[in-house]
Amino acid sequence: MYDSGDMTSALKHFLELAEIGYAPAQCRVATMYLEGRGPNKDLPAAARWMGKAAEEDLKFAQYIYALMHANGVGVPRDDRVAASWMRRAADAGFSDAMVALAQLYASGRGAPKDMALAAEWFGKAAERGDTFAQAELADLLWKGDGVTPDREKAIEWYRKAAEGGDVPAQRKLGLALLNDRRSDARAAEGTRWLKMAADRGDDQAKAALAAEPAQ
Amino acid sequence: MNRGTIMRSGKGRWGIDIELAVLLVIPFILLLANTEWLFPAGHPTDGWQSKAFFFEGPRDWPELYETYKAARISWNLKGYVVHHVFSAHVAHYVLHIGMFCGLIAAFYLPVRNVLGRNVAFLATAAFATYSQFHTVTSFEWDYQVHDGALNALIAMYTLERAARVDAGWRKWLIWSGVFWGQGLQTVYMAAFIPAMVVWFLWLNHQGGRRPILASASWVMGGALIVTLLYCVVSYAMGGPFFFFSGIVTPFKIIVIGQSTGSFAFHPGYWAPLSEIFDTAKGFALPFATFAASVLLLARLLLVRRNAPYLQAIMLCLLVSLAAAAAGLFMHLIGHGQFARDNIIAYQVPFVFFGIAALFAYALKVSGLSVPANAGLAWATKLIALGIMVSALAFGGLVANAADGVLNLARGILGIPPNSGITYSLDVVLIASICAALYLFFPYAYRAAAAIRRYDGSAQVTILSVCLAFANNHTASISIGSYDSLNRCGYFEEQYQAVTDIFELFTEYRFGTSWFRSNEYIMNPDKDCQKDPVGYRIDYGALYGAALGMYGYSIISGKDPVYFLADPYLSTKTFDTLALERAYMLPKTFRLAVLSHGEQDQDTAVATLSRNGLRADILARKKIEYPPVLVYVSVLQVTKDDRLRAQERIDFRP
Repeated sequence: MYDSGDMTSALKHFLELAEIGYAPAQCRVATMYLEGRGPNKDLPAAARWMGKAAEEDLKFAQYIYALMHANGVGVPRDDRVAASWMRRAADAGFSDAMVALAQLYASGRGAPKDMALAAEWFGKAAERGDTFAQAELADLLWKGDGVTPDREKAIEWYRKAAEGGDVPAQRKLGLALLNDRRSDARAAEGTRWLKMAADRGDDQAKAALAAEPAQ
Repeated sequence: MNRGTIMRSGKGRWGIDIELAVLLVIPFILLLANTEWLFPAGHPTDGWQSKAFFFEGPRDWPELYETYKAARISWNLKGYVVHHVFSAHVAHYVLHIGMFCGLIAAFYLPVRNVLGRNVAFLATAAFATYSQFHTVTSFEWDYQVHDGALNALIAMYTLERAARVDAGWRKWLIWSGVFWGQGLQTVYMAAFIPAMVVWFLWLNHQGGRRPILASASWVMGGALIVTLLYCVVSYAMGGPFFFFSGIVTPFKIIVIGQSTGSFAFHPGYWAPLSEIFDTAKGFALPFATFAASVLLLARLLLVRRNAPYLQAIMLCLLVSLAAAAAGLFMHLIGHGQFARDNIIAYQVPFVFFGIAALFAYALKVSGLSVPANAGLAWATKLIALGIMVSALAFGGLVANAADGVLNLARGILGIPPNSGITYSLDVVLIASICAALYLFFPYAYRAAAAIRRYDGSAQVTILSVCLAFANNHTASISIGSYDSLNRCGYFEEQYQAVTDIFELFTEYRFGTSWFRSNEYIMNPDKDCQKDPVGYRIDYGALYGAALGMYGYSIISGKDPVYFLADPYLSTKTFDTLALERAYMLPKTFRLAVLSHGEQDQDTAVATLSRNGLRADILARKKIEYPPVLVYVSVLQVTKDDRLRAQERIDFRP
């Protein structure tokens, strides 16, 4: 139905399933309303169906429902409700929600600013391989923000994020290793990461490389 | 055998039932004419999803726990076994032709034992060439409908045996329960319990007079045994123990906490009868048969003769009408028993018990059952078979002739051509023309004593022409799919391509796919480019079919990321990516790019890269079954986490 372009029939089909409480179908109906595919775009309807799916403990729906509250999509913007749903999705193990929850704690949106909790959730997402969370956790460890400062651990997380392709992490790892200068090998590795970030268009990396004396 | 007696089974010189042997050739004649009808069209439909179960089996069965499809274990197991013994292509032939032959035999045997071999031959020939049954809208060819029907017909046969055998009737009753229990894999079969009861009670009353309650207990025992066996098999293979819970509401409430019966009787399938009369091709012949059955039954009741042959005709009419009445009742209380061709198909075996009665009545006054007339009987049967097979094998020519006759009839009745007349009315029109012939010619023949012996042959021929025209006119798929003169089909090649794609996806743990939507490629054979006849290859359908095989695996997934992303990645060019839905894509995912052009593959990878999605090529394959050609790449796509974090902040769908 979908691929033959019969979105109206698809909506009817999924609505039947949604109405008997089948959460994946509720989520699908919500996204169809969200994007105006099949039905006309109807953000309140999208929020209503996404909310039902979220209530059924569908973690992806909880995550999107939280984003809808955080950004005022189909519902009034409400950071507290957003944080609450994001927490449920994160507790259920949805790694995107872990990162988003950490961001909410770090910014004080929807919950009192709490860098320790932010570091905890960034850490959980980092363990699951999210390179952005790895880089953010490294930042907190480097600065000692919400956690005991630990620059070696920070470098370890920067390295994981850098190896995962995160450009700011490559730059920060490069700078961290260059500043350390405990060994020539470290400095060489730092330069290599800086070059990698510069090659991928990072202006700060380019500037840092330009300022670095030629070896 | 004397006319007017209920004819028992008979065998040829070498212990072979010659009539049955001839009937079993029908699928092969149809295949010789054209193989297109055997293979599904494109589009992600239930038929393809069922096909996926045959490949995957128990791996996905836990995901089916909450759906009605787990209840189809009798059908799923047959398909699973065959597809694990043979290649996908050979398995399709083995399974479907095997089912086809099984249905022919299972219909022939009970009718033969009640109405004799001549009637059984004619009715089975009509049943086997009724395209609305064996090719329901093409992509649902040989679905669980047919498995249900096969089990029901075998149950009819075993019930007949139980009522009539001198010894071992309990064994036959247990077998009835075993097969009927397997037939109940869909709730739509449940409506035919009254027809089965009528069948047994009538035969039992005339035959062995078994105690009713004890008989019911033996049948229930058989059903219980097979159900428990399937419970164990389902569980042992990784599926749910109560495999039927998706279609039995009390179980749904207890086991999965759903109190409504959406899957049990799909509410969306219901439609008012007035609308069905207009649109459902599959309603036409059953409707005409029910009407004829009522008239014939009324006549027989008025005559009040107790000749066994007339009694047998009445039995078949009652079975047919009991099924129709139960179906109508279920429909009127909102269960859509007549709403769609594939659901009406459940009714078909019982409809043809009515048609068997009509043939029997046509032969009532003839001497075709007399051994001296064996040659004439065979000639009549083979002519009837030829007429019915030709309506499909030369479908295009017959369709033109049928249209001509219908237009003539409409002209006589003052109905303008193309006036939106319904299929059911068309069939009534055809039936009326045939009825006029049916009534006129016998009397004309009777007027001349010299040709009176051809009376029955004439009536059988007229009825066969009527059925053949109606069948041709209401075929659920393009009549060209049967036509021996049509050599432009591509469904068999498409099937091979789709199953190759599916196997490739399975090997690489399919995620989602990106394809050029609604791309039509003209068949390279110039003789096959007669648009809009349909000799174009719809690549959207090809991809849709491959996706359709994942339908319920995807929708049943607890993490809906993939199924949400899945339908959105169609494209017109591969040059652009619909990034407004990027928030749905997970960090890493497998993406299959399907294209007709080889260069599209590289374009797709470049487009992904341009949009911050790194694509590593895991496999690239050219799948070619002329005229079908498709390139497939399986990519490992990685999305930048920082980009995803930004999307969360900028969430504006």
